[in-house]
Amino acid sequence: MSVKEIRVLLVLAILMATSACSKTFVVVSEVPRPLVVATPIAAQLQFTDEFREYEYLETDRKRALEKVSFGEAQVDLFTRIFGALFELVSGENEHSDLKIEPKLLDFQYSIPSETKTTQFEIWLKYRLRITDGQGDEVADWVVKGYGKTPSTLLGSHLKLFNTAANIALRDVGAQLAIGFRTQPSIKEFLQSNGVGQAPISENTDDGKRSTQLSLAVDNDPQAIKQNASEGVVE
Amino acid sequence: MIDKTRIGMLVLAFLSAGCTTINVDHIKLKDNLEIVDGESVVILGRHHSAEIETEISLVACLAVKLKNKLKDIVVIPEAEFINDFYPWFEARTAPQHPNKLKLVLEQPVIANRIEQLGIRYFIWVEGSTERTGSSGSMTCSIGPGGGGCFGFGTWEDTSDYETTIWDIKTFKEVGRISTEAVGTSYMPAFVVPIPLLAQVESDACKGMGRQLLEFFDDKENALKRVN
Repeated sequence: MSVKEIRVLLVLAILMATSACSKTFVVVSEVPRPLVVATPIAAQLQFTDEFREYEYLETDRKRALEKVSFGEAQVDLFTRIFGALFELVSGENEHSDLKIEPKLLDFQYSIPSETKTTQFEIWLKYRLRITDGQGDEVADWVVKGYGKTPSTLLGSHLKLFNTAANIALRDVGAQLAIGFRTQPSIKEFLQSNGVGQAPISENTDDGKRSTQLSLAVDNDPQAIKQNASEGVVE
Repeated sequence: MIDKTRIGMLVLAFLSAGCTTINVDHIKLKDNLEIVDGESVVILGRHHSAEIETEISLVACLAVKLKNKLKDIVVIPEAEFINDFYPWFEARTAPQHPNKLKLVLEQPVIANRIEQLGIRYFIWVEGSTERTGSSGSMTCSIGPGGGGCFGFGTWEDTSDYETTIWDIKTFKEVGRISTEAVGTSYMPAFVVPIPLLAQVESDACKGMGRQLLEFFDDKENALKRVN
């Protein structure tokens, strides 16, 4: 075997070893665009740098991952959901009726060896600070999401982790898409801004309907291990 | 002369299946269940709690069973449907009752999509297959002269599924199937472990699928297909 061949093999071996031991993981969002009708008001999402570049750093060396890069996935989720609910504006000088600033309060996960299952579980907790165009507070909403790897899914640990993270993101997104505009203070704000009602769809033409639909978000809440929607507007 | 390898394969195939007992009960809540060619059905698993999580593989298996037999009816894959209708059929938001589904479908944007896809029936599957018992022991060792396993292990898996069919023309439940399957697998090991596996989930799917087909294609009992 020539020196050149040995070098190639050595490089390949190093590449294989480093890829197998990779402990940094970037979550890739796969949340679809929600099937809802947009409310015709301008809204602006305000992401802090901390939110955009959020990385979960693991302090316990025994755990599977050392670093989870989650910023891009959560920015993608909020942009997709609120992009379907409102007319999003992005420029600093652009007029917006509503400003939404999400903050990740908590990110937790469990790995299969800790739960004696084959599943990863992920818990998310967000706080959404919602202000009007003048900066006055409209609402302060806490939303929790939970996701775990489907029991029969097979694949690499990283793929399973990404699946669980996406299920948790979908859970948060579902609550936002259905419940955001039906929160009493947000609904009141939308009404006072001439939107009339907070349409979940074109047909959401009365308060009763909105209330009924918001109930759907809390579908059997006691059965959900991590009950997500505290749904309290302060 | 009969090929020894072929005999060995046959014996192995015969032995490689454990035993499964299936019990399927059904209730028809409507006699004249009709489906027009080109209409579609969607089969969805319930995932509304951490404990109750119907396997994706079981739902997919049922979809294949229906698709293979009812050629003119479209069976929409679960993942495709859930993504298409996000966020209305997520674990937390999926309607638990036909009346709740009616509420969701009263929204034009959703109703239009349902109409486009020609969805007539929702089939919900709730339940799971779980390990309910195991016993026996096996030891494996390896040394300079070779290695091997000795012992005997056995375990039992139980499937418990409840399938409900909703007709979205009437927003009523039109049928219900309860499936229970219990299977025991064995693993004797004399140098080499030989797994004799009971395919409990797969057998439950077969039983449930057969019953489901009768709901949609039962000529004897006036389940009417309109062509």
